[in-house]
Amino acid sequence: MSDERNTVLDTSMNRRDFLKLTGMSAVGVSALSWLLPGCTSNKEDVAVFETASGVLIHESPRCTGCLLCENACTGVNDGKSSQYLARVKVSSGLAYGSNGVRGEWWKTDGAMGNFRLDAELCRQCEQPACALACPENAIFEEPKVGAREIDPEKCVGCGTCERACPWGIPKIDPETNVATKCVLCHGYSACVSICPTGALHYVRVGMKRLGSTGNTSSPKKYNQ
Amino acid sequence: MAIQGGWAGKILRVNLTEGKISHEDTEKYKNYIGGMGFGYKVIWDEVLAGTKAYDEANKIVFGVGPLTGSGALCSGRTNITSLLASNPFHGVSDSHMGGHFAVELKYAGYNGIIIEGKSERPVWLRIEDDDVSIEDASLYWGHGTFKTITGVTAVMGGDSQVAAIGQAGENMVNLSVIRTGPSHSAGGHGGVMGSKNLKAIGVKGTGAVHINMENMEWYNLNKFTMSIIGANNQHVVPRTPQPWAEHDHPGSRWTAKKDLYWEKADPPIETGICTPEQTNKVGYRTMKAMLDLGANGPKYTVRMGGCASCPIRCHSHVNVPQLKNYGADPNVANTCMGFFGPFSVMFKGVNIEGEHKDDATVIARALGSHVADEYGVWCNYGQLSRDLKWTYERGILRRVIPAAEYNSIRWDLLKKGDPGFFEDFYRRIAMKEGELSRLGEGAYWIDRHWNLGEEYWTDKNNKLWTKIGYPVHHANESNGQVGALISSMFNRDAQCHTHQNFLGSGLPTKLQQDVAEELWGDRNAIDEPANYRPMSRGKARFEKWSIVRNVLHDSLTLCNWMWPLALSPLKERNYRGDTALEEKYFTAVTGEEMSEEELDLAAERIFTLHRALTVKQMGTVNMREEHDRLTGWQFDMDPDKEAFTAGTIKLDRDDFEKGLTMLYEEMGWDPQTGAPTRETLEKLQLKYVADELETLDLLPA
Amino acid sequence: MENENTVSALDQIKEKSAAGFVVHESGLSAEITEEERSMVGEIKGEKGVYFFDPNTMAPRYASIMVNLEEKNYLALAAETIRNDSRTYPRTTPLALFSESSFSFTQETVEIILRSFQDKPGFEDIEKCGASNGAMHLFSKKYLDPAQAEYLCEWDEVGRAENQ
Repeated sequence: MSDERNTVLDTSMNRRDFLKLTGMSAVGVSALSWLLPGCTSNKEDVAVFETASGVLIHESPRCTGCLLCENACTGVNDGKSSQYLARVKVSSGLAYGSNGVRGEWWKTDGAMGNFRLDAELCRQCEQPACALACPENAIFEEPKVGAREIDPEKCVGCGTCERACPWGIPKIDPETNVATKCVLCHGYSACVSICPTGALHYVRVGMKRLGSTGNTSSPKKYNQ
Repeated sequence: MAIQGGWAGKILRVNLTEGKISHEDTEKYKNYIGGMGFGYKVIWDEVLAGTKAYDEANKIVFGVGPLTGSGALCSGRTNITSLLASNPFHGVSDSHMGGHFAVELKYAGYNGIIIEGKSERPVWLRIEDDDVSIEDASLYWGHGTFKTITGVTAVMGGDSQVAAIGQAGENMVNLSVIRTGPSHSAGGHGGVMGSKNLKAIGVKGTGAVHINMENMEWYNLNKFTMSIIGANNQHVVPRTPQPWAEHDHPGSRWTAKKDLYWEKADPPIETGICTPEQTNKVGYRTMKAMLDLGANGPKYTVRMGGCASCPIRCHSHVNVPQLKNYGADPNVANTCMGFFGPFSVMFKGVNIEGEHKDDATVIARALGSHVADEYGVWCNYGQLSRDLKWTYERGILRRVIPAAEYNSIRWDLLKKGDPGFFEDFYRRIAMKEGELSRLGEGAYWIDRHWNLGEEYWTDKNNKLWTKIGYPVHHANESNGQVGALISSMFNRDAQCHTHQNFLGSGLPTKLQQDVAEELWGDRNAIDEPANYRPMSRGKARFEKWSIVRNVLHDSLTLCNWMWPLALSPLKERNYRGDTALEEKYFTAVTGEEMSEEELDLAAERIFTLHRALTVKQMGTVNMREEHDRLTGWQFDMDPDKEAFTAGTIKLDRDDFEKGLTMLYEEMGWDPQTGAPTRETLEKLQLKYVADELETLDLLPA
Repeated sequence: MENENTVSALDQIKEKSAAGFVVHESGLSAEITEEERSMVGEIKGEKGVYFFDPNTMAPRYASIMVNLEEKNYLALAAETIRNDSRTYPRTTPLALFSESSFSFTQETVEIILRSFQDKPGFEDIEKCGASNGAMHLFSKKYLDPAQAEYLCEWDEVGRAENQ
């Protein structure tokens, strides 16, 4: 895999650059779980998840912070608009970056700083901390795209998944008391499709870029 | 916090005198949609005529609407309503800001905040969903907006949003702003917050706005809107000839083209050719820095930015390392007048040693924007710098300012073209230092204090539109009487972009006239630019529609700098957009069936309430004579040309009177005085307004 | 390379148009069929027929490309100016011709300006200037000179002051 070429951003790049691009090398090895199977788990006997068909990646220099991705995420999956529930999280570091407010804020990330915006996204980890931690075994692998999905019937809203995820992706919906997380929209990635600057991509784990509007099972046309 | 039907269900009321926090049921205000409508309703009901802007009895209303936070495209604006101190009779007015404050307020569960009373000491308002408190602001008082916003965010968390005033607001400078985020300002009401000792509002919400439409249908509604949206100001053709485009126009803000980059992005990002079908490139269409900062703007551009839920990124975000030489943060974000207003303070030009003139322009525009924003000074749509120039060049400043103060002003920097002048100038304005700072009171009051004479008002180049003291903002240069009449209806510059966006779309006049015929039944609503014809019924309808939609947008809240989408970039639609889209969004979010006409009628109610409020505040029904009067240059300009001949935007006095009459008729107001009649007020469910006006003898005969 | 002949004329035209170019008939490596011809746009120039894909290229832009291809700079400039004056209406900044897609050299621009003055057939084309020193052109056949003067000043100076 390390030598595999890919076409992300229409450039040829090696694996290290790709990791850099996704911002994960800075997070640490545990963040690479979706690329490096087995890294996150101490339990050798738990390998219940196949690799998802792909993941979302966020290209920081293209992101302008409109948060339409978050609107689309919750609009399509929850029938409502909510930054809190959105599984593409640009809003959390929008103003001052993911590390929050610093004394010399003008030097840090975020719209109030150097303008760089990062996003937290679900990695669809091969050894998903959320699923492994869930006391109700409510998180399963959806067969079509392999996303890790929460069974609302089983979820008791305890919040263990929310605490287990290093990126805080799962969230208990305060209105339903059920956890929710990124399910890759079952294959069409509404956030990718709506992004007005093509900053979000759905990338197959084999690293073949599908393009900004790729992998969209074209939703039915709005009939005006 | 479940927000059903678009409205959050409650409005927050904060009484700073008593330190009391309570809720109002939104139901009472729903007839007024939201945002601006809520604001006028509160002021009508609760602020007595004769109240002044900085009186404890004045109130300030932060309003959002049913679409705010829903994810409808371009729905991130906050509408602020209060009395306006720069206005001679402290008339009711609105200031607006974009950014993310509005959606955060909605997610916290509120349709608005009514601030009343006055705190004894500096405070800020903390809102975290249902948990609301008044906090001590002594740490921030005396500081600029950036430091204040950052300080409050540090307390509330990185995912909160803050609106704050700078020193200008604290000191009740009439021309002061309320700011949020890196680049969003609402001009005019900063001093009202200051008068109440309210430094900032921090808000964090975890709620959701429910959509009353099937999930995918909603998603596709937004995708459809994305397909007919244009560039900034709903310009629908590219600025330069491009393969895909049948039309182009050099005035278009669809500036994206081959080899045009966000050069300071890492790596640099090419805007490239963005065709209408490429909806994942909509955000590149408007590369605003080349307009905001001139020829070298792209060189300093990190990215573009803007407001919540808006794919049009119209705010330039630049990194200008040279700003460190002036002690300023090199990262600056702003748009349009946010750059041009301060820049024109340097009316003798800019000259920086060792810098190319195009780089000097970038430095000066970025620095001016930053300094004005930090102090929280408003430009009164460019009038502040014109007032400086006008009074300086005529020796008025030398006459009215005591010698010691005059000599301490850094005129040397101004004359040299050194942008270090900004700091000296804006500090004096914001801190109310000396006589020069009267410039911050606004045109009407400057004249009152300094006796500038009639010439001040009638000088075409000074651009003052009415004696209320605000300037041209898409007036007679925008389709003659259309822009002219729209500009005369409010208590400050008309922040109406409906007509301007339509006229500036970049499409040929004849095509615009075809659409005019469809929308207003009269192709004569539109003239060729600078070749205007006498007033017509079609123009009156265009004016009314423009104002009504503007008011609708500020109530829903949608951005009137983009909406309505009457035109589109799609040739296959013959460039038609969809004027029913607001209604479709409204119904989708609220679940309440309302036709396009009914929604327009609701906005008409809001605008007529504004007019009634103005009548009440001015204490006269004679709006035509007392309120809607132009300064005169509009009729006397271009002495060698007649009105309605090619090449002039000159108006004709009789024609303008006729125009007022026709617009009053369209609005159902008294055709003589321009005041709302009982019949119209009752038709708009404003009987209580008619009753009150009658007791004050303010209904037209 | 051996596959080159198998690319249909239609595909070649589509590819070129998508890249922003028209195709001269001699530039096609495959015969264009009647059916294909009905699906593309064509412009007859002085030096033959040019094709373009109307799905990605507007006829007006194709016409600009044909004129550039045939080096009809003078005719192209005149047609652009007249079209601007007639259609929108607006004056045409002289600077437009130095930018893409025109990309005329300074020498070409000067020759064009001289030709408008000296050569027959261009009597309708006039100059006007703005207070920032910029020069615009317009056709007085379609645009009143006073209106042209206003529009030129607006484009160069006024618009930026009225945002």
